[in-house]
Formats: sequence, structure tokens, C-alpha cells
Amino acid sequence: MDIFVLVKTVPEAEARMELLAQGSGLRVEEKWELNFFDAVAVEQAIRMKETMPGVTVTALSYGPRSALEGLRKAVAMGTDRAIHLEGPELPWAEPMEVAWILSQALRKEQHDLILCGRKATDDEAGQVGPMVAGFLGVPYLGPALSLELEKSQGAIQVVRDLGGARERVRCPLPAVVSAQKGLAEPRVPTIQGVMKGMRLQPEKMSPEAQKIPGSGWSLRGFLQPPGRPPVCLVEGQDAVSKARELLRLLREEAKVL
Amino acid sequence: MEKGGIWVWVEHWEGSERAVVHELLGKARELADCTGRQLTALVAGSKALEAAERIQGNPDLVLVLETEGHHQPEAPPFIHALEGLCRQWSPFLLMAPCTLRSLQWMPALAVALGRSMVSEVTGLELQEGEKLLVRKPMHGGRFLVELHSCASPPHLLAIRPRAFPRKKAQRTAQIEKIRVEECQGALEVLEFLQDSGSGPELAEAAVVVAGGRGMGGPESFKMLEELAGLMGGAVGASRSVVDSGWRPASQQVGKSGKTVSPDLYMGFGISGAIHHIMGMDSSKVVVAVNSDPNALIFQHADYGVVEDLHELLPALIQELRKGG
Repeated sequence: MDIFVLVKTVPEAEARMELLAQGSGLRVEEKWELNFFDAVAVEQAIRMKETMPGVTVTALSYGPRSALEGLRKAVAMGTDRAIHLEGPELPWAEPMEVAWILSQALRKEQHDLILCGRKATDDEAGQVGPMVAGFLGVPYLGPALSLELEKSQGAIQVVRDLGGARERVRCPLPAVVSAQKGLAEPRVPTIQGVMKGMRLQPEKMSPEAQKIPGSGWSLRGFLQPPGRPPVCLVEGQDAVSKARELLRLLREEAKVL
Repeated sequence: MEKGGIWVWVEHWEGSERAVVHELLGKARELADCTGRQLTALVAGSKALEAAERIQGNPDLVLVLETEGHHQPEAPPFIHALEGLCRQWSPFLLMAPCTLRSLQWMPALAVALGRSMVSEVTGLELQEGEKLLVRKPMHGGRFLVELHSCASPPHLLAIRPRAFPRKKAQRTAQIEKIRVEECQGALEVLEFLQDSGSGPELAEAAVVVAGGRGMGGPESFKMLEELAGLMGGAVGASRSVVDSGWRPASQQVGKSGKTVSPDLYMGFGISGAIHHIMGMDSSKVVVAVNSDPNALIFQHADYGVVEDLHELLPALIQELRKGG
């Protein structure tokens, strides 16, 4: 069984970032991590490999040089293969374009199950997984809270999070499944795993030159939302007087009560 | 009636529409009025008619999609029908709430129509020459990205809850039913599990009261629930609280949880790790309560109370009860 995990490298939450002149882009400190939800997907794939014979797990990433960092982490966690689809460094990428490029690469490889995170924490689009499924013409299930392979290995059952409700759904393979927090807790890689990740020479693929079918949006620029003024500390003798003063401020000054 | 124009997808459970639907209808009304277009709301699934009657105030027309069988609103027959309707009527814009549910079907529709979409939209303006300018947060709200539409319609947008205000509605839209063909998708729904819960959905709530490790344990959250009840709000939690099993994952605010933008956010015993800030920094007014005056969260708050939350919470509850 061939499992592919679509992974993205994103800036760490603590990475320093600033606007370039005229908001044309962002300068991001070189502190990278594997996108959280993708790490959950990698963990799920590795668990399937550990509990079943004949499973190969491949991490696939599209992006600039920094994409290597996420692939290293995926390999450190235990994926068998890592493929880097080399792409330009862009301040913003159209999710549909990314999905098209990934789906073209997947067409060249034998795949039974494609896993991905439910969204990336940098651009927060949440579109690539379902769009890859759309381009490949296979079912999309997600965001998954659990994933089970049926005995026949020809179908899966997923409990998906609908926000306020859950649904147990079943579909034949191949399929794309996105990972929600709770599907699997990403492991801390072993020292040997980390070494393997550091030595990684990923397989390289060039994206198809062909233009994607229909895009729709062009980048105008970036803005920084205004920061908050310094905090106003609520004074009072004790908890009761502070509670009263806080409620007064919320009613009379902030007018939110 | 002419069916092109501006379309809003009405997300609902068994006839109860999500609060965000009214925000979308308000914004769509404004766009429809300034471009002389029709506003059409689309409702599908079990008890769609009930939802249709409740949202009649803003649209010119409500299209109710019906099938033989009993389906959830996002079931394959409806999405398949939506694709057909988009081709037939060529709407200028299709807006849906950005939720876990809409992110299951709108990307698929985008692929089918060959039109890319924008999700998590928080700003939307019409510019000269019928171009749309949309804004959406990146990097947990530290920046906003602005995008221009550059393809022909339909433009597909998934709009974040609480991005636009609700608008007073005066019309009584015509309701029209459309029969939709059953179609077999590859997906088979085996079981539907409605989560129990009272009060507003976290991402849609006007007031969010959130607790962190400083709450001390799961039992203290009863006080937060009571406070939320008194304020008509929802309870949120930090990552460590969820990871410790004190609260369900659906209440997590932050990078790996939900993003909230309430009018009032109150954080109790939350240190202010960047992971959490990324999920609440777009709130209008932020109150932080922490016994540590150096807690990072005070750098992201409008009002700060340096106090033991186990003293302050009962006092707040008491005062609010009195204020009635």
C-alpha cells in the first residue's frame, strides 16, 4: 500500500516577520517547521505503516528551498521517501495552483491513500487537500478525527469533524484525507531519525510547466493590522472592587456589554 | 425571477441557520444594492424550508434545493446541482461561510468550475471595473493579504464568521423550490453524531471567555461556563488546557485550534503564548486576567487585571447577577 503525505514547511510561530517596502511581500526569519496539521498526517501514515505489512510512506512537498525543512522532519518521524517538487519563493501562492502541481506529480506515482493537514498555519487556506482530490477525481474526507482501513484494504472509514457535529463516512480507495488535531499526536523523532532527516537528499521533481486550469486572484500586497494601545490596568483594593471597575469600563468606555 | 447576481450559501443544521449566514446576507445585500444585482440565497437539505423562511429578510429570492431522499445540506446531490446552477445562471459572486463544512465542498466546486477561491476572507470591496478586492489574514492575523479578482465570474469566497456586521432586514423574499436529481457519490455516510452543546458557536460568539493553565484544573471551568452564560458568550481554552484533557479540542483557541474575533474576549490564567495569540488577536476588546503582572498576554490586552482568577471570577459572576 502506498501512502503519500502532502507536507508544507511554514515559519515557526516565533519567527520574526516584517513587511517589505510598499507591502509587496514579507521578510520572514529563517525559522521553519513542519506545518502542525501535516505533522499529524505524517504520524497517522507512520502508524499505519507500523501496524501493517507492505506500507510505503512518501512525503511530498512543493515549494522553495525551505520546503526541505518540513521534509527533513517527516523523514525524521519515519517516512520512507521524500520528494521535493521545486517551486519559486512566493509571498503568496494560489492554493489551486499548488493543488494542480501536486496532483500532476501524484499522477506519476502509484498511490492508494493521500494524507494532508486540514490547513497550513501560514496562509490558512485549507483548500489544497480537497482540490487535489478534485483534480485526481477521487473522494475527499476530512478533517479526520479518526481513520481506519477496512480489512480488505480497499476502503477506509473516517470520522470527520463538521464543527458542531461529526460524521462517520466510508469510501473506496484511493482517496484524500485531511488531518484534524486529535487524529494522531505527532511523535518526537528519535536521534537516529533526526540524523536521517539531516542527511536527507530528497528525490527531486520539476513541476509540470503546463498552466493550471483557471486561476482567479492576483496579489495586491500585504498590510499589517494596527497594534493595540498599551494595556490599561484595572485598579482596585480587592477582587470585588476590581471586578466592579472592570465591568464599568467594559460598559461605559469600551461599550461591549 | 432573474437568478444571476450575488449568491449566498445558507449553512444550517436541521433548519437552524448559522449566525454567520446573516452577516453574509447583510454584506451581500450591500453589494447587490450598489451594483443593481439580485441577491439570491441558496438553501439545501433536511428542513431547508424552515431555514429559508428565517432568512427571507435580506435576499430577493431564496432557492430551496430539494431531493427525494433525506440529506445533509452539503451532500453530493446539492453540490452537483450547485455546479449546474452556476453554469446555468452565471452568478457574479458565490459567498459561503468559511467553516469546516464549506471547506469540504467549495474547493471541489472551484475545481469543477475552473475558478479558484479565497477562504478565510475578512474584507471585501467592489472596485472599479467590477473587480473585487478581498482581504484575508495570514500568519495568525499578524498580516493581511490583499487579492484582486482577475478572472471572469463566478468569484468564490468563503467568509470568516464575524467579518461583517448583521444588517436589519426588511424584505420578504420569494421562495422558489428546485428539484435536484439524486446522485451517488463515492462517499457513504454511516453515522451522524450531533455534538451536544449550548450557547453560541465559539467562532461566531460575540463574547468569548477563555481559560488557561492558571485555571488550575477542569473543575474551575464551571465558573467560566457560568460567566459565559451570563454574558451570552462561549467558553474557549488554551492549547495546554486541551492537551491536558480539561476541555474538548473543539474549544481550543489558537494556531492549532480555532480563530475567534468576538467583540469581547476575556482570558483567565492564560500566559499569552504566541500560539494562543494567533487565535484571538483580532478580537475587538481584550481583557486579560492573570496573577502574574509580567504575563505576555498583557501585551495583547486592552484591559488587564492583575489578580487571582479564583477571586476575580466569583466576584464578576456576583456583580453580573446583581446587574441582572
